[in-house]
Amino acid sequence: MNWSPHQYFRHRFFKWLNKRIPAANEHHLNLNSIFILPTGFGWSFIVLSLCLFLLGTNYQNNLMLLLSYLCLSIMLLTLFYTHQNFARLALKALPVKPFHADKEGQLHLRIVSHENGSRTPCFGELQCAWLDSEHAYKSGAKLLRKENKVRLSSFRIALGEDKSTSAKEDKFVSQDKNKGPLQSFSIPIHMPKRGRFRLGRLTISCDFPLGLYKCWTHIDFSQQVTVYAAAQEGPVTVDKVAADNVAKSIMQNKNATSNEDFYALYDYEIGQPLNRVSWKHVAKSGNWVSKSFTSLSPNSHVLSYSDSLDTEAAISALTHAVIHWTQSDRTFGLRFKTINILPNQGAKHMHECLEALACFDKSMEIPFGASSNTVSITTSKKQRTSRAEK
Amino acid sequence: MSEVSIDMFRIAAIKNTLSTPRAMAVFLLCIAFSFLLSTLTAPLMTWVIVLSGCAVVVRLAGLQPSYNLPTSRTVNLLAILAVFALTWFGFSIGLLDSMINLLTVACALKVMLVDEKRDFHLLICASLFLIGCGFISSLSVFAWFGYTALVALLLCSTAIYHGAMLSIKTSITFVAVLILQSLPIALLLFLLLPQLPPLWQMPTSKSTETGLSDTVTPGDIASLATSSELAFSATFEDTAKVPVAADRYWRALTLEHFDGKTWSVSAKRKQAENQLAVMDKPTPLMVAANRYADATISYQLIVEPTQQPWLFTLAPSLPDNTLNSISVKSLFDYTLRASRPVSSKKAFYFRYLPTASISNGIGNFEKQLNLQLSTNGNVKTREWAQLLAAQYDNERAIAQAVMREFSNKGFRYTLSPNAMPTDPIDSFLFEERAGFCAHYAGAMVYALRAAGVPARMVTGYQGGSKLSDNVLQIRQYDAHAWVEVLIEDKWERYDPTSMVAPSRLTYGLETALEEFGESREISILGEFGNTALFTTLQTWFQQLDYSWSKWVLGFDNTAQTNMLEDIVGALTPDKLRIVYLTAIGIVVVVLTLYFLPNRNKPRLSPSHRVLFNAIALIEKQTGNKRENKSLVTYQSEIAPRLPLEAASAFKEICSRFEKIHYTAQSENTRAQSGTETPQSGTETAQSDNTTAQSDNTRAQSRTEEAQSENKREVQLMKQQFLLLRKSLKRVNTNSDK
Repeated sequence: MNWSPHQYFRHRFFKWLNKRIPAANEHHLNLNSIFILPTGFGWSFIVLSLCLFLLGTNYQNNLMLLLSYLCLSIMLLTLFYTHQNFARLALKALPVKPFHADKEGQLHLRIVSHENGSRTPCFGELQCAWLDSEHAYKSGAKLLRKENKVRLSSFRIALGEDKSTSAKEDKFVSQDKNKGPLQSFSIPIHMPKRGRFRLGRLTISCDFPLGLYKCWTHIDFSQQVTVYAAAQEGPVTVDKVAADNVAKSIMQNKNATSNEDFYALYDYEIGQPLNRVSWKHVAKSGNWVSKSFTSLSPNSHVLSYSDSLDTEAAISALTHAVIHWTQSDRTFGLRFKTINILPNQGAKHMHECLEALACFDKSMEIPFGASSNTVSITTSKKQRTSRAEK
Repeated sequence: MSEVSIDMFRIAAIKNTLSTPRAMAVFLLCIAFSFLLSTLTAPLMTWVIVLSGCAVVVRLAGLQPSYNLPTSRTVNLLAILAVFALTWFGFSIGLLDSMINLLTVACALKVMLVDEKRDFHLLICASLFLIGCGFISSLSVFAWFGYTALVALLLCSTAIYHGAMLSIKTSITFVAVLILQSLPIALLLFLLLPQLPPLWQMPTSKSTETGLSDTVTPGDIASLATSSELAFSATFEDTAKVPVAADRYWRALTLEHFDGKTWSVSAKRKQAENQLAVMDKPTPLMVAANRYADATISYQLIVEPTQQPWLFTLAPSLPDNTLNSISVKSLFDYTLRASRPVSSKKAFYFRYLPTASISNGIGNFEKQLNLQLSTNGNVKTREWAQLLAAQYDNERAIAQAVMREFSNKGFRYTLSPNAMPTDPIDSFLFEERAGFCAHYAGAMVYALRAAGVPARMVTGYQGGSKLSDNVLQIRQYDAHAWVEVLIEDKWERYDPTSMVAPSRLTYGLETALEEFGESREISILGEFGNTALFTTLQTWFQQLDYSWSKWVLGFDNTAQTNMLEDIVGALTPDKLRIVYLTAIGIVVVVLTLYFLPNRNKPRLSPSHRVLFNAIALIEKQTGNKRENKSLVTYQSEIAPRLPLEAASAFKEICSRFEKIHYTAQSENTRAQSGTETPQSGTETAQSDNTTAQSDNTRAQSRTEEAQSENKREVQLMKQQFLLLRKSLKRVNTNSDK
């Protein structure tokens, strides 16, 4: 393979990481998985100690020397404190829920008790970023033993500054003394492209207690995430599938219920679509009743989209239609190029359809297309940024 | 709104402003910075202090949300102004001071805006460096403690900044523990790391130059007399050989040039010294050393930083350069110079040759130099001197005549004589007749030179108070000037002041001044200064300061080598290697002590302890080991072998133990399942919060209840255990009978 040196080293690095910190659902940080180096502040602290040493030597001033040695030994001790603190962190990933490409997903991480049996939790502010991405989405999670509610909200510091500050103020006003450890926090996932991805390595770092050192780790929670296509309204074709399989096609944006036969009236339940409310009855009696149609059971519909149009647009439109149809509690099937799902209804069915749409691969149609199903976040991120630049 | 509620509101507002860790950290940083400013008043210019003070106030006000921080444009403008001001004043205050000023100004400007992590870190580092600069001038124990406290404050501020809302108390405890833990390591490094010689010459601070200067205008020494700062301490090896008060002349400089007003070290003398040094000619002191080698008195001086090279020694003294970390060279006038200015407290070692005299170092040159006299002014003195010269035939008689003049003509010893601008010698000798040691010495030298007798002024210190039997402390008010007259090729010491105020030599300056109805300084403390308690405290502090100077400040390469030799004998490279390896080993051991988790000592819960004790007791009694049996089977197994009472007690213990552990476990599982509420991504943060919070409080109250329950149970177990033991004891005593 023709690899640039950069790519080569990157590959080697990931290979080495995979060996050193294998992917797992649950990680207990230890000597193997923690990296530690001084931060910028740490380096300047060292330079400061050296400067004080030079000054002390040149002025033959023992107190300055003592101060310099004190700084050095503080530096040495903090190395151990920082590592010790970070090595108390143990995280378990909860399965990632699917989300839409234009929305934000969440990786929920639960803090579990560490296998080395230490009782003190890990303190400090956690910085989380995805390793694969150069423009990593940074978010801060504040972890500490006290004030549970502060922790959860302050983690969202990257999402809304106001919320975190108000929470901080709360903390002092109410003076609550909750001592339960933080249970979980979530990392936002941005994935502008549909598909099924493997979540890459998450870099978690912490500079508690003095910010002199940064402890970090690259951990792979071995999580799969399905990113549904962004929902976008479009001209979806609805085919009525009769028992004799003769399809009569009607445009969806006409009255979608026109081909259904009225069956019965039921009491209206909150959540049912308003277009089924029999307004005549409401006006007469004041009771809300909804109409029910018979067409649903014998004749189900199949959603499809013209093959000649843009695939992505088609998938977006179909995604939207699937959600819409599920919301209106109707039975439908899905047919699009290689996808063929039999009519059914319910949330499970919707997820099935959405997943099928999300994982629909263009390369199936275009021969010799080399892109794999698992797209790394980097590439998608780059696309996103380039799109943003436009 | 009433006044009270406004106040309450204000207090709440202040509390609120400090509620975020960042605000608290900035607040502490500002406090530390202002303390630092107050200790650096000597090198800092007034406008810098004012500017920095204002910066601190601006930042503290900016902590409140209603006040805005200054814009960076304002600060940049201020920075430009400050740079102009610094360059303007920089030349007059010297390089070191202007650097400290520059750093402080930079810090002050940064303080106004500090909020970002980077700025905060920068300020912490700069403040630590300023603390280092503070040690240039402040070297006392208290300065060290104060500055260490400041370091702690800065670290606390950093810890709070990075602590992610951990409580302030936790951060403070952490920093205290950290500093206490790092002190032993720092001390070890201090003791073992080689003490290097200075790598390059550093600029010295003008503001910290103290003590004698190389020029004397009568009146200069009088101004020194108002200072009671320590000049140096002298420690004698032998208590019996401490010189008597009248002989404690600490000779520093010979001033051989007089321009009509000011005495100074002669430029010709300096030139000659340089030439002789180039020629590598041994100084007369070196020659004398061999002759008087047997009768020497060794002593050590701990010199306070003067930023000057000259040293104060009993004349003539020989430097012991094998011990001195700064080598000391002797000059041809028997004075001694350190090879570089004394910029920190330093120990110097000397050998005093009491029997040796000061000979004429460079022959005719010295004689000529010390006869030079400006021929204008002071006519009366010169006439009088010529009269004396005619009257007496030898130098000694002339000198004695001048001394007699001082004692007989009603001269007065005072620290505040009238100004004598024209013909100072004439007006002093014939009109004012009141002056300080420099006046007397100056007049005498002038008169002698006019009479054709080579004479020079010598400055240094005279006296010293005993701190302990073998330690003398010499303070700035002991500064003195006297006269040396060349008689028969030897320089003899004459002290005209002793004629006027004899008690100056034996009892010190204060007593001498009292006799003339003056006091050295107006004491604020007044009578309090004389109370016993105050005196004891003062002595105690002086002792402390002396020990600090000797053991900490005076710790140098020599002291280090001595210490190591005391421990391991003569130093060889091999031994040194072992020493350094052991040091590293000690650090490693200390670190493992701090950080190794004590796994091999699992802590037993109190209930376990009671149970195990009970089982041990029963095993001893019955000889039936429990081994791996479950509690229930073991209990039923041994029950028949025990007396009834003991068996029931043991059963009670077992059941209670099971109750504690069973209930505790079920509580735990319940608590865990309670907090494991599924958190879906669609839920808002708010609802996440509230559920987690209520769960927590519930779990907490539950665990609290369980804990108090457990305590009760353990108490009951202990009671049962006592019963068990009693009954077993009774059985034993019965069987013994």
